[in-house]
Amino acid sequence: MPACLVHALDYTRGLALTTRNLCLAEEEHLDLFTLCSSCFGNLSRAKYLLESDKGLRKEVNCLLAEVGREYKGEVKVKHVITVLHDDMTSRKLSGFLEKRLTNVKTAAFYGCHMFLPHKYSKFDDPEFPHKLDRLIEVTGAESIDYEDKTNCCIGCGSFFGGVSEDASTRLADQIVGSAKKRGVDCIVATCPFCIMQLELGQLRIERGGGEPYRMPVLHYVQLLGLALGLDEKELGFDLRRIDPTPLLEKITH
Amino acid sequence: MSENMERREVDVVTRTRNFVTLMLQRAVSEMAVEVCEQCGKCHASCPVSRHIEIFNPRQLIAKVSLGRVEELLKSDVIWTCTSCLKCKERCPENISPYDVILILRNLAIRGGYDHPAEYDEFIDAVMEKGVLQQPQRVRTRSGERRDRASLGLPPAASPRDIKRFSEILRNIVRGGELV
Repeated sequence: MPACLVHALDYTRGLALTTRNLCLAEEEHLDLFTLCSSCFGNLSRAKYLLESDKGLRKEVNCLLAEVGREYKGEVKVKHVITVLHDDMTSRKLSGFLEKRLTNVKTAAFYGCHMFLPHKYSKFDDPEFPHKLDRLIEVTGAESIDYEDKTNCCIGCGSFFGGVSEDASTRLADQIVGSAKKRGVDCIVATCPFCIMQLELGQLRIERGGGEPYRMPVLHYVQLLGLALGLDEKELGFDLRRIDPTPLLEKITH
Repeated sequence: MSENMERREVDVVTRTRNFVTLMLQRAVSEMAVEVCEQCGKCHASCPVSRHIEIFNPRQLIAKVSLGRVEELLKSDVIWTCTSCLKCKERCPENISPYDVILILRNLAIRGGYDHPAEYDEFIDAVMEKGVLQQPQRVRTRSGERRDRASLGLPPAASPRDIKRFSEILRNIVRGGELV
């Protein structure tokens, strides 16, 4: 359901579509789990708005009644990062690890909807988020500070046609460039959309005669998978657009 | 269509119209010039502004508070925001240029002003197939083909009754344009 784009077209109806997804989980007495920061942000937004504005909640429930559903407000929204950091805790997580990725330097890339605005999910500090950095450190890898850690990948703008490809390429250049300057082996993100944006951006930069960064961009679960001793093929590294071989060679078997 | 259903549809339309009016009143009244200090934190935080000169959330708020809404509805500017939400987080007056932009987009759609074709394309795709994009076979970097089955994944779920699904979605999404 493309609710994240529909609420730009109609505020209440867009919210109703997002809420329908919350209802589906609620009816099964389950938490809603996502791998994507934008899904997490958008679902947390719906939950926040419906909890803080009773009138709006009535409005949305009127729309949902037409498809035989009602939002009760019992469901929790989780992202793989919130589950690993807040629910499981890094101490427990480290008990499962087979390998320490000690000589790997990473650049954490948070992705806006994971932590902004603070009042939606209250997941992390809105100016200095740190939970992804802590989770990276659990694997033994180093999380290096860099300028564009909390920047926006601009994916939501360019995907829906509002921001030109040219501007989105320049932004990818800025982000990957600032990570490269700090000498990292890869960027670690929490959102498939950010990953796509930063990978395709690098291909466009190179095609346009810009710097060939060749900077692998991973989802955090892929980095964690390496530390859990999972097979590289299982982790989908052959599907990444930027070849991660130099990174994988650094990880001792 | 039964009389009951007609009445219900009119109800929904009225409710939606009232809501947008309410939202705009809220936004605009919060944005009296004396409330927005024009401090420019939104502009300084905006990743789009850094790369696209015409996009300036501080200026956009000034225009709304001066009543120059139609000028904005006609312009590409309101579709240029990438919804990173930094302006919403950092505004010292809690104005949230992002939410104002959402309301302006809602108004632009209702008023029949231009918007990027991608929005319609994505919505049409969902109406037709139930998903934004069918899971497709992808290639690895070495050119091998992969699909869900070769990765040991079950086929992706899609709506059981696509006709009914589209109807419901059409009602929800397109309903907004009746206003």
